[in-house]
Amino acid sequence: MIAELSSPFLLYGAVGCLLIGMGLYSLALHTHVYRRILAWNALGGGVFLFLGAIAKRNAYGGSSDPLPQALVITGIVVSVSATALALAIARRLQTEERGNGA
Amino acid sequence: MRDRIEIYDVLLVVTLIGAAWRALFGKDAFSATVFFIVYGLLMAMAWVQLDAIDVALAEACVGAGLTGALLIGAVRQFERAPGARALRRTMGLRASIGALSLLALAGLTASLFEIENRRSPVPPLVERSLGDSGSAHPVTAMLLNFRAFDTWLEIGVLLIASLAAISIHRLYDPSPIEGRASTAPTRPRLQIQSQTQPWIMARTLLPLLILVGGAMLWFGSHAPGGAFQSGALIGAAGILLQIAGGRSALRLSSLRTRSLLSLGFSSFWLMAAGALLAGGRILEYPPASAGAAILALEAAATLSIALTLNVMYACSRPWGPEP
Amino acid sequence: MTRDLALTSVLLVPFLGVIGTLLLPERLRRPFSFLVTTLVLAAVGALAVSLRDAFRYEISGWGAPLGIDLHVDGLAVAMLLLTGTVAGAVSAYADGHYRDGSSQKPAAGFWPLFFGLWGSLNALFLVSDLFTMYVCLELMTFSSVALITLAKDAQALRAALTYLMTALTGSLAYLLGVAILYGEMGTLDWTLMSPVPGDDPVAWMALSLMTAGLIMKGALYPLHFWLPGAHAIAPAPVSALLSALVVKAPFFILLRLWVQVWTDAPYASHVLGALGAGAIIWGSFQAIIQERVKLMVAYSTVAQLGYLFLAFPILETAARTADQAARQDAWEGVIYFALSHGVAKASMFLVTGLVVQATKTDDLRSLRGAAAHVPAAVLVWGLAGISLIGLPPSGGFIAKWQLLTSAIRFGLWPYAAVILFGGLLASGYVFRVLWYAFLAPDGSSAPKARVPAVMVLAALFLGTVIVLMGIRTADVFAVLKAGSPFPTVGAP
Repeated sequence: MIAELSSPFLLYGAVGCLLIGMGLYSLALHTHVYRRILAWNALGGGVFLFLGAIAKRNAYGGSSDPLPQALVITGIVVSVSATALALAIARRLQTEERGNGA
Repeated sequence: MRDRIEIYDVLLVVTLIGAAWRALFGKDAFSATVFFIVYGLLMAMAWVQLDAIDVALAEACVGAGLTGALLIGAVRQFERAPGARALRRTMGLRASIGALSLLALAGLTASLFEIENRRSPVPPLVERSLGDSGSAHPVTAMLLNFRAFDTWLEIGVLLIASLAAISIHRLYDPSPIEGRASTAPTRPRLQIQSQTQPWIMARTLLPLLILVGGAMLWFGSHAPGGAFQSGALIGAAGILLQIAGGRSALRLSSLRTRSLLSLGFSSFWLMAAGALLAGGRILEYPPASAGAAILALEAAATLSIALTLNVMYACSRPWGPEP
Repeated sequence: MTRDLALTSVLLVPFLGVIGTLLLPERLRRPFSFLVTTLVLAAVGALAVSLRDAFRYEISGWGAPLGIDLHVDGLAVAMLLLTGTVAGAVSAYADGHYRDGSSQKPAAGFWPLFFGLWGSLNALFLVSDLFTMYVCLELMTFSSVALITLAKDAQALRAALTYLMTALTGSLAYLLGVAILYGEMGTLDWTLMSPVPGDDPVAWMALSLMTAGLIMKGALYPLHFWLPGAHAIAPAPVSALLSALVVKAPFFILLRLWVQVWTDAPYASHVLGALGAGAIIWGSFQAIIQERVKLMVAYSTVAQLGYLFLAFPILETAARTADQAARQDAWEGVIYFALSHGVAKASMFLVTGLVVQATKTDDLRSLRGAAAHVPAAVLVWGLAGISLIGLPPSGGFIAKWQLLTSAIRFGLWPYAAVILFGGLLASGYVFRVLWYAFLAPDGSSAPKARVPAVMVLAALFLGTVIVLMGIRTADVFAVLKAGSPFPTVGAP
């Protein structure tokens, strides 16, 4: 059990959980979409780290489980697409609102 | 391969949390963005500690690098908005959201410790199948062979997101001239100013980025690296050019741009249909030609990803002429 | 062989549509999208006809848990049929909608996104890998968001952004649940997980996270706040896709999880049931008081989604009864409700779009005289309304009848009462529209423009399907028998 507790898998997993908690708090508190996009990205980082901890725990023959790693890479690419899409809409929305004198 | 926490891990983790804190709760939107990029880079170092070099590269190139570029490109437009600076919620709401977040945190951490140490059947299966997968590197085999369908859909996500960005840009562009409307965000109003810092930087870094990107693609078949990291690096070269104000060949509505954007997605489609015609299943490659199939898919995907990221960056910059 | 060909075509052909409509020259895009639509419909039809029993297909040839498998059963094929029916009608309607002249630019953007949406839905209903479902959900969400922004309006941008941010938050919750589940089970394939023990706290954490994420994406009350704005502001063909199909995808995953993986959840399922009941009452009241038709239809979606969530306590109780026929009735009723709501809601949005195109407004009062001017639209509205209320002859009647008898049979009286009360409330907003439509036109409200015939035909087609679903019920139920979690032949 002690050996288990000192393994990096738990440390990084716990940090992932902490980042998720912080990201959630920030996401719910911020009203501006830009800050929400930031918070969402940081939250995503926590989720990925959680997956990474599982990959580390499933390590087999000296290397981490490749399946969660592939999932994280996919997740990162989805995140950057989401960020780009959200920013494109938010930016255009702000231009439209300014244009209408808002 | 280490199995114990060392002092370095603790330091890294503490800095990571600190950077995340500043990114999430800092007052100023611009410095929050900078801390977010720092957070991304530290995250890449954390991935190294978890023996996930591919993820570390992807996080550094895509997560911190490109997301960072997108955010930095956009932040100037938002930072003066009142809500972008500080939290504007009442104390009661803060407390209740905080309590909920803490609850989620506690539940998650508890599950992390409770997760049974049941052996996943996947890593041994990977080891057994790696020889027939066409790649000596397990993560590449996972992305381009075992779970290639995921990767195809993910490239579809990138494609749809870039089409969306283009469509929003074109539809809402108030410019009355059709021809200009379609190219406005990427065509710089200024010629290259050869003595500016961005240009000097671009000139130095450009060949390097493309070289490293190409190498990463090539080595990806047997070592960490691959289409996404390589595409991100080559894409970064284009973005640097955009920052430097170089005349970009990007025409959002041209057939060439559309073909190149969809090249990765189309290649996967052809590979899926080709496998069917050859009597196999969707995206099933014979072991003998799997290596070539993977390399072809990765090369096509790299080009598409590089262009997609450029389009996304161009569409996320503040509208109007660049200074 | 035919079966595999049909299956792979269902998966591949929509994505060919994405590529083709993106790259082909302008004049070839219309015939090409017509061809692709026809091919996908033929493939879905062939798959439905050839389906005898549930079967699997290994993408890339590795097989789960290493690779990604398709799991083809009655539920999946029923959802494919719904998607095909609605998407087919929408593609014909959109052809008229975008050929109308006023809006040439959005047409170019519409088709790749439309086929992307269709392809992502088809893939989502077929895969049995929970992570691939996540990627499909993202592909679906991004296509939907982009389609909403085609409305070309600051309000549409705002609605799209709210939807995107909510959906993204939901995805992360779902993804985290999937991560925990992989850690616990060592696989992502739901068919390899079942059955999950009911007393495993980690698995429960995973289920709660996935459920929370999916109900955000699926707009279950009280997380529906993004839906009315997004569904009401989008262009009519897009609204039809969103309300009929897109909100069904998260529900589909929930159905898999709660009925086929976690078979033992007696209390938790009542939480979903209670939220569903809340959705029915709240959504229906909101629909009744709306003054704009599209918002009314959108709130009606909030209410109708509530019925789908009554499924969880009903099916959970069904799983514990010995009466095989009763269990299969409940299962069929739930799926039939999803199908008939999809068709009814799509036709409602399409005819609303017709009226808007004719009168240039969706104010309820401007409907005066619509029965005289666009009788076909009012007829289809009436049929769709009948289905939503749950009157014969319509798919909605059959579905609601099965749900109601199941609720009564299993002694779930409060849900039975809500089902009946919801029907009354639905008649409130349906007849409110019909009331205005049958008023004599006055000078101010006379409809102005004509609408292309193909749009009317698309709406009439869906109206016919509504009626057919009320008559030819057995044909659909035969499909649902394949791989049902509650098999009727052979003792369990």
